[in-house]
Amino acid sequence: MANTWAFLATFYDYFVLIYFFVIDFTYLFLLVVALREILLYLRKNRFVNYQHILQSEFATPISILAPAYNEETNIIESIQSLMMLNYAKYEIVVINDGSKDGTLKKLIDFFQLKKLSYVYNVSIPTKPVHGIYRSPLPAYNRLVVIDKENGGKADALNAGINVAKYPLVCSIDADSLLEQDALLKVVKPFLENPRRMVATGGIVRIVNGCTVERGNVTDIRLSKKWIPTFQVVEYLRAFLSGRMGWTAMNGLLVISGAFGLFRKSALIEVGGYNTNTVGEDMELVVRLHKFMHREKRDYRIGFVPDPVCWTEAPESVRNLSRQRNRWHRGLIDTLRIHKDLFFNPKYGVVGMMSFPYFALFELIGPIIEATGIIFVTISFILGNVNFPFFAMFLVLAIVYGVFLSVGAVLLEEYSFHRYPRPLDLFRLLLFSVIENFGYRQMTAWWRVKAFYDYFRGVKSWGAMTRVGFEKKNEAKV
Amino acid sequence: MSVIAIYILVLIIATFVAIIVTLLVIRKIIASRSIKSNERLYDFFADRFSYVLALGEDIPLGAIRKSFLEMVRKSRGTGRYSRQRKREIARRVILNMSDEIIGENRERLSQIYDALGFADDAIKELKDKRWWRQADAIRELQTMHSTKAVGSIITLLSDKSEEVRLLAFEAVVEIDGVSSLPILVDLLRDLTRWTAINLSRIILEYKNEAAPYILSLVKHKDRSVELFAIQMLGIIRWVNAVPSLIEIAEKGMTQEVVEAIHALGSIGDERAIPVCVSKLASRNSEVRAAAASALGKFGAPSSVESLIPLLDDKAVDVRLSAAEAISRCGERGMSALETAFLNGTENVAAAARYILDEVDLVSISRSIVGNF
Repeated sequence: MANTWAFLATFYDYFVLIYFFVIDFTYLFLLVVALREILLYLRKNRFVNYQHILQSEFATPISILAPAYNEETNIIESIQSLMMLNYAKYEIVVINDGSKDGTLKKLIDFFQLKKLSYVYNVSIPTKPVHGIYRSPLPAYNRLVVIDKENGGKADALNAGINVAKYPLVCSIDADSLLEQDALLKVVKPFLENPRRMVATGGIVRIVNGCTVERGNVTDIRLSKKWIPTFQVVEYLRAFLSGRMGWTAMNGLLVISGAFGLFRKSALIEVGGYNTNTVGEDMELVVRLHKFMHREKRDYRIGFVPDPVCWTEAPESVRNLSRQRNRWHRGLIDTLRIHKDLFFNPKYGVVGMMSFPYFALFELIGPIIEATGIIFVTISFILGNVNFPFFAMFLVLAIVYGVFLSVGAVLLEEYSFHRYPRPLDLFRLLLFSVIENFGYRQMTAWWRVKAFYDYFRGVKSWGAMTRVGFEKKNEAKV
Repeated sequence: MSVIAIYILVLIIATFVAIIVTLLVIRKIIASRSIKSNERLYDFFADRFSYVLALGEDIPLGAIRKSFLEMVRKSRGTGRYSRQRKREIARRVILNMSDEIIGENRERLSQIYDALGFADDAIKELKDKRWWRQADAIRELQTMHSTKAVGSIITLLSDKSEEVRLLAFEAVVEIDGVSSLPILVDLLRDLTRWTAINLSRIILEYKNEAAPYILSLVKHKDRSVELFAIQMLGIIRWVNAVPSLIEIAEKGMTQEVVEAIHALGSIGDERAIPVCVSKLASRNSEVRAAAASALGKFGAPSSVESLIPLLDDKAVDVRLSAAEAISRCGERGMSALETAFLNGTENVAAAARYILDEVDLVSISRSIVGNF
């Protein structure tokens, strides 16, 4: 019996080692592909003058959809920031999703909104709409506010799609800030490939620590707090390495809900956002892939590394754990809903590569990581594995983690160089190393716990306390 | 055994990456050290070229060339790399100066650029296999108005890279003027919106001069070019294009008809009103909406009667376009819209109310709509 246990333990140890090797190799592959793509993007960008889009009548107009639920802290700054975007023709559709705080009142008071009649074309069914508001002030004539019964973010976005009058819709979080040229940059793939392009996403960066003035990020620096800084490293790894790599193969499965541009007709064709999942952003992209493959259409879903959406990251462990729990529940749900894609050659790269990657590495990775560390360490203490094996495991589990994070930070420094202060770069590199000693394991644990919550039927988003962009500055001063 | 193999593999990859990172760092250090020396050379050449320009045509180009070669040969560092670096800095000085000066001096600078062999270097670069090198060369030759490069640049109009094609188009038009448009437009095909944005910008610089060439494209064999030409005529608002656009609106395919009607609306010539009115009865809703929208741009009170039936159209876009068009037809239109709101069916009233609200958010919503 003891021998059987020892055999199983050794088998699992080897399995974990091979698993880490494969996962590390995959990440390395994505990093290399991403580097190539970013270099190509930068080269192309040298010859692009975005002002041409700004002044052209050929630029495709965009409807920005900003769902808001209890966002009274940030909502005015966010909309003011959206009003200042550089783009030829766009409208801003704010959807108040039955907020319980003073979001709607704040909007009505500040923009002097008037309730109007509106021809509400129900392309996608949603919860009832109470009213549609517009501002009589010429400065805010791009703004449309929808007040509706609470139905969740996905339902709010669907209501926005119904009201949007332009062919491209840009979904953003109401608590995010877009850089002024973000729309110009994120729309370019649609202009270059108008027939094929279905969706594009921009990079999401963390605003904590930066200076925000009138809805604009004027001074970029790292937060002095640990938790947001760890997230900066994570975001760089996820966006610059992961998403850029998958874009090169047309296998991108996630466009962040904080900043994504979609062809409206495609969204209507697939029935809009799924209101029964907490991972509606990923679920939508997977469904778009599935639909396009089924219809045998030539299409592309891509990521643009340059247009920036600034978002407020959780600053407390409690809020961060809730966010990660929700993200992982969303991932579990999406992969469960579309399990028929798993190693299905009918769906090309998505079926054979990106979907299995998300299922085997992103989904169950935290479980293997958490149990692997415990198993291999105990096996080493008990003498079941020798030192070279244990050392190898540490190299694969820790050193490679360090390498990949440092790689992503260097990629950022080499390409976009958004953190000009040497001290910030040093801190980023330092955090790339130390995140592998505790932080990564902590997030893995939250993701393991998400399995328990998911199968228990938890559907909540979990509240997140927001400080507000401008208030952050006051606190800093 | 397998563990050792994996271990070795990991070490190889780690070493490889470490070497790359080290080389990048070394490169960065060397680059930062050479900045100061480059700045000194830049100032030196900038002084010399400014002096030469100040003297005007008193110094023959041959003498300038000779003197330049002497400077490159004699100053510190005589190796091949050093000579190349000096040439590169001198070239950069000329390019930067050309951005800042105009008139005769700019022409003279172009002659100097050519005499020193930089134009020939750039023309050679046009044959490079890397598209970004070709693009850089095109941009440089365009900046220096190098007429001898036009032939070589034209060959790049059918390059597989969109960036190269666009830059080549822009460069030829800028160097050779609007007269080169017939050759260029003939080579256009498979236009994306991005290409259209860039081409329209170039064409708009010449507007009416370019319009006849654009008109010749409305029957182009490539549909994307045809649509682009129709849209451009609307943007340029060239009145001479009206008969051709009317013909397309009457006989073209759906998309062409829609674009032609929009273009006619933008031009605003009254000859187009009958065709727009006739298209209000089209079976295609996009055409009906376009026709309504165009009539709105004309703002002719006489078209109100033709537009009113469309307030009850089955397509919501057509209803809204018709309502908006009516609102633009003066007092007669506004009065018709108010009547439609008060007496019309549900669809008619909704469309009318929507536009009435749009027209005057504050006063109309308070005085007519009230708290309905």
